Amino acid sequence: MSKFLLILILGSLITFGVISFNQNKNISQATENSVDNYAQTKARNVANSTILMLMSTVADDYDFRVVSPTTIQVLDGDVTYFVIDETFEGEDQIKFSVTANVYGVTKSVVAYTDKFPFFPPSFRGAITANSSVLSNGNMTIDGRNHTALGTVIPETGSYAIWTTGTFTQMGTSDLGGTDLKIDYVPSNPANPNVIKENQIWSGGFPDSPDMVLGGPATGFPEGTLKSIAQSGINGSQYVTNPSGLSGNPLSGVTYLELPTNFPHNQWKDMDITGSGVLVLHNSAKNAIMKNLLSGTFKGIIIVDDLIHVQDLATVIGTIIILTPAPTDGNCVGNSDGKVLYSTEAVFDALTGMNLEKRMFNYGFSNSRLYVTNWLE
Amino acid sequence: MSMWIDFIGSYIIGGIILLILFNLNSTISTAASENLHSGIMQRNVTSTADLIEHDIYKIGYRVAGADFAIADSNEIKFSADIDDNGTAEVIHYYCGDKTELNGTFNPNDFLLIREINAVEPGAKTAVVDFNVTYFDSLSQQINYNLLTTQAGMNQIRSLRIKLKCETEDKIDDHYEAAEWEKTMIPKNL
Repeated sequence: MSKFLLILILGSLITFGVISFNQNKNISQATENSVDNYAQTKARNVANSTILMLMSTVADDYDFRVVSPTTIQVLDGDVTYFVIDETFEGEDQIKFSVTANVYGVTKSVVAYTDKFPFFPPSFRGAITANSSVLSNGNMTIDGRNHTALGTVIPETGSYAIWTTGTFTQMGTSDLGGTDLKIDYVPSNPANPNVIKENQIWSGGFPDSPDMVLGGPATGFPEGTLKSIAQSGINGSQYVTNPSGLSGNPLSGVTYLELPTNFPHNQWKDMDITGSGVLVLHNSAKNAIMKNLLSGTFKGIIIVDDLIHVQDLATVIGTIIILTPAPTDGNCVGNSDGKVLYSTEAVFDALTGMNLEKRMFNYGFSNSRLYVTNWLE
Repeated sequence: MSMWIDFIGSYIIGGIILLILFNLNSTISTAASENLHSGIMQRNVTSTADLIEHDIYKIGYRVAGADFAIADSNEIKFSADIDDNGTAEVIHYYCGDKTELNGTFNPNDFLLIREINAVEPGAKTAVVDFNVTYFDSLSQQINYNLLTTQAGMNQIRSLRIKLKCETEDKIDDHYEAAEWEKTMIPKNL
């Protein structure tokens, strides 16, 4: 009996040992799975965090670039990164490339941002339109970048026209712009590289001034620009009839919410001298800005329907036209009107009203640059 | 007399030890089996989760049009250039029918199928639960009724995916399971 018991106990011990060994192997495997998963997640987090740190650095110092791969330690991981200018998707962009190594797991993340920080992506050229566009007379539309005083800044501009419809160049109107860092002096006929026709706006063309600046996602819920205009800050004005404007120069946010019925939906024959953000809009998206006769406006014009930038009128900055169905033709300008694309004038218009702080509401996963693509 | 007491006592003690050993063996065997299948399920879940993460984080990457085509609780179809070659692919995750897995003893399992550009690349996993929840920019859950329109789907900014796998057969009167759940914020949305 005692011998039998001894054999049984020994057999059980061996069985127990084998099973224990297998169990430990399973547990180790399970732990390995967890650790791998944790390391992958951590490597991804480290890489993403490093990219956000680099973007923050670029936002502070626009000239910051790291051409040669550099390795630093971030949150228990080794990170190799570089920041360079690159043409991606046909646009000049800043490329942020990061490879993080955490506990032997490697994760690479690449992100691209627009070359110009603080420049809302809704503005895609000197004139951005949701309808077909026509230029006439001796008008000039120049998408090359300009200072707020109108001096050309080489290689950093945009298109003359970006439209969801077609473009027609008539009379002796000249169009110029920049494409892939190549500047095109305004000419007739214009170089096709500076005209973008039949474009598609991902997610739908913005249908209100607040959506132009990014909508609720970027700190502009519906009614934000209107309420800023009503506050009167920095000379801002809100009127429902153009005769209520206090005169030139316009400044801050000038918001004209015109009636929807003709002819009260028009603002005609005006001097546009001023700066800031000028909005002409109503619920039917048929507010018309017609015959801009004189003066220089520096900044952003958001308008439902634009007819005739002409004579001595000059816009330095950018114009966006919201209506898909202009009521009085597609001619945005004639005689000697000028539209000169200017990132500086746009930037001044935004910072003058602290609007850029709304747009770049720092916080988790927010960046002060416009991120165009992120591969992780 | 004392010899008889020793003899009977040793039988009783020996019997108890035997019972303990049999019970111990049985418990250890069951635990080992559970552990083994749990490990297999875990590997199943993590490899599927890796694939899902690989795709979901890229939603909208180099996509010109709409990011989502379908956004439902157990089905998601989106566009992303997952191979970074400049052309966006359409990736479709959907659940197969439970009757397709009649060969298994688990009545709840079904196939989770991943298609790229309407072609099944063979990435199928047997799961018992696949659930996707969608959130807007304020991290508020979007009602599935709103996600039947493109405008509704354009509001999606993050997703929470829940995945659960179970064994095909019962292990000690229950199906061994492994579960994974993660909220992801694709940066291109």
